[in-house]
Amino acid sequence: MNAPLPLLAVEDLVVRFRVSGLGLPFGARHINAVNGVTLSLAPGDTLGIVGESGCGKSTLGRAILNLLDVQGGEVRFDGSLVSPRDRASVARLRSQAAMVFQDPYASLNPRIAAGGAIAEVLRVHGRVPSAGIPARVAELLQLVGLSADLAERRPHQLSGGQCQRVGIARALAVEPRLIIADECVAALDVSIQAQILNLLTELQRKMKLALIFISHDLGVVRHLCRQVAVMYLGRIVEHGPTEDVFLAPKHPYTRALLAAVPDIDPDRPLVPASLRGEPPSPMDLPPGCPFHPRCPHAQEICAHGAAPALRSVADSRVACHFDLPPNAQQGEER
Amino acid sequence: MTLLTVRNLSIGVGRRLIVEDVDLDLRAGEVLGLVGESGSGKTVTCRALARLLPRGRLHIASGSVQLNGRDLTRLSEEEMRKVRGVEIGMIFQNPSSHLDPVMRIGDQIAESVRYHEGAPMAEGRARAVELLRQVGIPDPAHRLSAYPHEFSGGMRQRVMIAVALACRPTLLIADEPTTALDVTVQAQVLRLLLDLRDRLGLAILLVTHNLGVVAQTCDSLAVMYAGRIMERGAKRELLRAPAHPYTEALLKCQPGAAKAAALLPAIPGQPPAATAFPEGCRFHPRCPRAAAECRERRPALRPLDSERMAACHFAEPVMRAAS
Repeated sequence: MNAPLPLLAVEDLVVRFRVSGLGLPFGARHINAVNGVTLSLAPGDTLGIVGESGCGKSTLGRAILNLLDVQGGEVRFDGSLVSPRDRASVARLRSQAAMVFQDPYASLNPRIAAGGAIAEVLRVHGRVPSAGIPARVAELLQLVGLSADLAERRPHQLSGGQCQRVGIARALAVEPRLIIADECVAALDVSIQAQILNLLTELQRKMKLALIFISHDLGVVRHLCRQVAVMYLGRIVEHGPTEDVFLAPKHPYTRALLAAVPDIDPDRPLVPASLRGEPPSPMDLPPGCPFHPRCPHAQEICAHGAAPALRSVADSRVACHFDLPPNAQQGEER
Repeated sequence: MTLLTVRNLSIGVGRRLIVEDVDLDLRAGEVLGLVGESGSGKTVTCRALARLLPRGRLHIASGSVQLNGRDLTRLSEEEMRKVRGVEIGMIFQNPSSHLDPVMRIGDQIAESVRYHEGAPMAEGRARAVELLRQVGIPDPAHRLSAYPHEFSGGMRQRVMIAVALACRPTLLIADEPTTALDVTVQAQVLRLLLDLRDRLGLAILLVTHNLGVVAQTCDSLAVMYAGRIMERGAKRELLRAPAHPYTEALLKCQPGAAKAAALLPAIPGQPPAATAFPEGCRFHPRCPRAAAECRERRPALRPLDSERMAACHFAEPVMRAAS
C-alpha cells in the first residue's frame, strides 16, 4: 500500500519463546508471540500498533530491531536484509533505528546522569568526535525540551516526564530514520503524556522520522499515527489508514476493541460488555481464526483450518472470512 | 439519604499536610468518581476513609468521616475492624497483591463471613458460591478450591470484588480497579460494578485517573490536584462545562479531543511535590488564567450553584466560557 520504496519491510515474521517449568499442559512448550507478521513502512510515515496485553506488539517491535531471536521471516531496512548472522547488517540497522521504552526509570542506568547517558550513545556510535560530545549533548537536551543544567541529574532526581525526554534524546542521538516507541507514554499522567506526544509529533515532522508507535491506548494512536495495525494473538487482524480503521472498523475484534474504549463524552452510555471472556493463551492457540472463540459473528468455517489471511478491502487489509455490514457495531455484541 | 459525609479531612506526614480540607458526599446507590493525577492524594484519601493509613507514617490530622451516622475518625481500632468488610468493602488496582496466593479463593471469601458473622463453614461456602456467581465467575461451585494464580487478571479482579462484598457492605471503595486490565476486560468489570450498584444499592467511591472511565460510570465527580479538591459536581455538567481551569485543561489535553496529529493543548510544567506546594492556589504555576491574587490568596471550595463547587477565583467566567 506504500508507493515509495519502503524504509522498513517486514515479511512473515515469526517469534516463539521456549517455556520451561513444571505444571504446563503436555505439549505446550512454546509461546507463539508473533505468528507471521507482514508490514512495511515508508520513510517519514507513522504506524501505530495496537492490541491488548499479550498480543505480541512489544515482541514485534523488539524483533524488528533484532533485539531478540526470530524463528522465521525477514526484516529489510532500506532495501537490505537484516540478519543476525550478518553482524554488520544489524549494526547498520541500529545506527539508523532506535527504540524508546515504556518505563523511563528502568530504561536508564540509575548511576549515570542524564548527560552521561546521552553521551554514551554518541560514543558507541561514533557519530560525533569526542571533543564535540558535550556540545551535542546540550543540543539534544534542548531538542527534547530539557534545560542544560539537568544534564548533571541522575534518573531519581528527574520526574517521569523528564526521564522519558532523556530516553527520547538517547534515541535521537543516533540520528535515526526510524524510531520504535513501545508504550512510551503509558506510565505518564495525562498532562505530562500530552507534552511527550507533542514532542514526538514535532520531532517526527522536523526530522522526517518514520515512527512505529506501540500502544494499548487507542486514543493516543489515533492522535499520532497515519496508519494503524491491530494485533490479536500474534497476528495483524486489521491494518489501514487510521481514520478508516477508527471510523469504519472491518474486523470484529477491532470493532469490539473500539467499542470498549471509555469515551470522555458523558452522554455515551457504558457499552454492554463488548466481548466475552479473555484472549486464549498464546501457548495453546485455537485452530482456525484465533479470534473465533470470542467472536460474535463466528461461523463453522472460522473454527477450522488455518487462520484467515489478510486480504485487501478498500485501503485496508483485514483477516476475516466475512465482510461485515458497515457500522452495525452498536448493540450487536450483546 | 447521604451515606458517607466527609468534612475537612486533612492527612499529615509529621506536621506537613499532604491532603487538605477534603469534602465528599455519597448517597446510597451513587457512584462518585475521585479523579486526579498520580500524587494528587486520591489514594491516600480513600485509605484514610477506611482508616488504613500506614501507621506511624501518615495520620488523619483533622476532619470527620461520617458513615451511616457515625464518625469513623473517633472509633477505636476494635470498632473500626467491624466497620471494614461489614460496612466498607475495598478493592484495589492489583488484585494479585491483595489476594492470599496460598489460600483457596472459596476460603478467602468465607473467611470474612466467618470472622464477622460467626457463620459456620458450610454457610460461608454457600455464600462464596453465591458471590462468585454474582460477579460472573462461570461454574462457581467448582472454582471454590482454586488458587488465585489459576485465574486471569480480570477474573482475579472479580474474585476481589466477591471478597469485598462478602459481608454485604453498603459502601465499596474501588481504587483504580481497572487500571491494570485491558480495555475489553475493563469494560466487563465496569459493567459488573454498575450491575452490583443497581442490584444491591451499593454506593461506590471510584478512584481513577482515567476520565473516560469516569464519564461512563459515575454520577458525580470530585477532581483533586496537589492534595486539595479543585472541583465537585454532577458528572455531566462538570464534564460539559468545567468551572476550574485544571479540569478544563485536563479534558482538553486528552488525545482524541484534539484534531489528529495537531499539537495537544498540554498543561505546562508538572504537578508540585507534596514537600513544595505553592502558595495561593496550588494550580497557579501551571494555570493559563493565573492572576496576581491566585499567587497570594488560596481560593476556597465554594458553591457555584446547587450541585457545583469549585476552588477558583475565576470559576464563574471559566464555567461560562466553557458552556
